[in-house]
Amino acid sequence: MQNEEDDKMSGTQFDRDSMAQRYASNHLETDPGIQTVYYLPRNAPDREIRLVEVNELMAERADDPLEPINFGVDVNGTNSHTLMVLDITPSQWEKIGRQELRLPADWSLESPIPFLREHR
Amino acid sequence: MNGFQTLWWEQTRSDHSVLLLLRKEDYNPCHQLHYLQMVTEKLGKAYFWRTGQAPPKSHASFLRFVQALDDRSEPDRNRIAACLGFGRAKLMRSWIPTITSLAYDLERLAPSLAGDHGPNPEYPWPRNAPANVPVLHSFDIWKRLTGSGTGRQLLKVIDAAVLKFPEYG
Repeated sequence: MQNEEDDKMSGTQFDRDSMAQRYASNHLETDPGIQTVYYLPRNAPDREIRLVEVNELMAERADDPLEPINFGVDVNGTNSHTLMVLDITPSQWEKIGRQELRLPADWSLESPIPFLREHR
Repeated sequence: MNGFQTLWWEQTRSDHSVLLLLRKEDYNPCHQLHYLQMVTEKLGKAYFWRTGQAPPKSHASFLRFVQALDDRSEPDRNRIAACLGFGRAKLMRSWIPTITSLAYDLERLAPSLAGDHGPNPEYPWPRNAPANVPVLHSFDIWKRLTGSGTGRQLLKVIDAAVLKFPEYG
């Protein structure tokens, strides 16, 4: 399955939505703390995938601003792209919904695409 | 490895060498946990510098680090899995969920995340009226790291991840 996904991406056309789904699926599979992954394509550069991952196991850092991690995935070649992941707690997600907490600059919550855990 | 990564890895490797000395001499668990937490944090920082951009100031999660390795392209994943002692990338992926709990608890050892009332390997707590001291505390995470196959495997993977960093970072 993973090989097929890699093969799908080995052509000249970069399919951002497929890659976002793949990364979200991987992260939900490997980290039981992640409840939901939101893919935020709006405002993102063509070769950038933005994921917000709501995680119930991570420690909340009240004093830190929300900063995404650049995962440093495929940085070279025809499929080069950037994966940005923002880790937040469920309470931080609620604050974002109430506009009490801001997403990083230029990130937009418009038309988010959620990926949910299939089995809990 | 770029220049930023080289600097972070040098510090990580040095911290790791101290950890190995503490382990060899069977020093109190609090000291070994302190260095283990620092090593995993710096290892993550060293890795995420691969983009040339500074990673977030917050403690880089070890779990995020191994997930980022798992998100690399397939040839890279197989090579990384071999570096870390897994036969194939698939085995590395199936291992990640098994260390989730340990990885989060390891991260929470940092005093800034342990809070004023939580156990940490550096300072007596609670902060305002200390009643516990790391050197006399029995850390649950230590028992899980050293008393289970999963924990011991995690320690081995961390050792390999530091030593083999130039091959995959």
